[in-house]
Amino acid sequence: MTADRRVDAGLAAVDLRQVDRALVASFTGELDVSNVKVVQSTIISAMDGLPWLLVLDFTDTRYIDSSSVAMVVAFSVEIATKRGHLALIAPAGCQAQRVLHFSGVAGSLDIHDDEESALAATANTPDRLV
Amino acid sequence: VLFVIGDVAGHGLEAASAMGQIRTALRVIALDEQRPSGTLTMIDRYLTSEQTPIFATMLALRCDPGTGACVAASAGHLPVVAYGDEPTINWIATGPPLGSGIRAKYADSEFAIEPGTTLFLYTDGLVERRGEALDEGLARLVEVLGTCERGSEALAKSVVDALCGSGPMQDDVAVLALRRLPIAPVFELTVPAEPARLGSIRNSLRRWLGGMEVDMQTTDDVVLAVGELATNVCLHAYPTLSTGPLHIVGRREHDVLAIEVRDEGRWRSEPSPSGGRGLPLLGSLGFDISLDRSEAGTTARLRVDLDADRSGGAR
Repeated sequence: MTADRRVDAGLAAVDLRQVDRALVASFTGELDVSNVKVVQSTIISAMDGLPWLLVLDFTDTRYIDSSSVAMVVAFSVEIATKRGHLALIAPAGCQAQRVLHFSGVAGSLDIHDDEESALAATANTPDRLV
Repeated sequence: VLFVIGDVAGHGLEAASAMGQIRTALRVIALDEQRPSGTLTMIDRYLTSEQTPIFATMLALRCDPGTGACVAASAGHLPVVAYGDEPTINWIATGPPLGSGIRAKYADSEFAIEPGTTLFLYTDGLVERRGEALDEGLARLVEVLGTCERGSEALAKSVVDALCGSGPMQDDVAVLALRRLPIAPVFELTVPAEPARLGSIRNSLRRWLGGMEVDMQTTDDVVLAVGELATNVCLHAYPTLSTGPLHIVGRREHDVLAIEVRDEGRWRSEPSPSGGRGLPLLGSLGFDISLDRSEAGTTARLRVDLDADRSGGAR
C-alpha cells in the first residue's frame, strides 16, 4: 500500500491509512451483508506486503450486523495464525460496541476507545512475530 | 436532509450565473460537510477566492425528518418562520453575507420541529419594501402565514400571492415551505427481499421509531434486530437468483413495540455470511422474538418492552 485512500463500498466507505507498521481501516456509513465482502476483500488487498498489524475503527460507523461481526472474527483468526495483532476501536456507547458485546465476541477481541490506545497495542507486537 | 435558500446580490445573467456556481459548489461541499455552518464557511471561502466578487445571503438547514431535529446556519439571510400552532420567527444566529472577504465564521443553531410543523424559508423580495423597516415586512409575513392553512401544499403560492399581488415585482422572490409530515402510527413496508434494500429499510424504520419517540439506544437495537430478520429473508426465503416480497409491519401500543417481519417463501438452509451469528445475536438483545414457519412463509414477531432495562452489561 503506497498512500492513504478511501474506498466506497455501497452504504459504507473505508478509509485506509498506514500508521507506523499498522494498517488502520476506518469505516463510515453502514456495514451489512450487501457490502461486507467488498469491505473485507478491500482490507485484505491493502494488507498485502504489510505486517499483520490491523486496526479496525468503528467510531463513526452507524451500523454493523452479524455479517460484520463474522468479518471481524475472520480477521482475528487469520491474524492470530500469523502471530500479528488485531485491535478494534469501538468507544463505549457506539452501535458497533453494543453489537460486538451482544454477539459474545467482545471478550476475545482487543477493543479500545481511541486510536492512540489501539496503535499502542499493535506497536507492542515484536517485529520478529510479524 | 439539507435544505438551502440563497439570494445573490444583483440581477440578470451575472447573478444567475453566480447562483449556478454556488449551487455546484454547494453540492460538492455537502457531500462531506455535515454542519450547515461548515457548508457556509466553505462557500464563503470559495466566493472570496473568485476574482469577480460574488455576494450572497444564504441559509442552510439540515433536518432529520424522523426526529424533527434541525441544525441551521445563516449568512446574512432572513430568519426562518416556523408554523406550528401559530407562525413564529425563529431568530437563529447569523454571520455576514457570503463573499464579504473577511473569512467569516458561522455558527450552528439547533432546534426541533413537531410533526405537522411547516418551516418557511424565503428571500428578501418577499418581505422588503422601499421606505419600510424590515420588521414591518416580517410582521406582515407572519400575519399572512397565520391566515393560510399550514398543511396546504399551496402554502408557498398563497403567501406569495398575498404579499406580492399580481403586479410586477420590485425584486425576485424565492420561497421554500417544508412540512414535517405526521408519523403514521403503523409502520408498513413491502419491498423485494434483496440485500441492496436493507439500508433503506433501516432508514425508514429509524424515521418511524424517531416519530414514535423511541430512545436512540433502543432504536439502534430494534433496527439491528429487524435488520437481522430482514437479512434472513433476503438470504433464506427464496431460491437463489429469484426473489419475493419482504413485509415489515410495526406498531406501538403504549410502551410496547410489536414488529412483524414476514416472507412468502420456504426456509432454505443456505450458508450465511454471518456464519450463523444472526439468530444468537438476536437472542441476546433481550427482546421477545418468535418464529412461525408455514407453507405460506415465515413470520418473525418481535416484541419490545420500552420500559425494560436492556443495558445487558455493555460497556
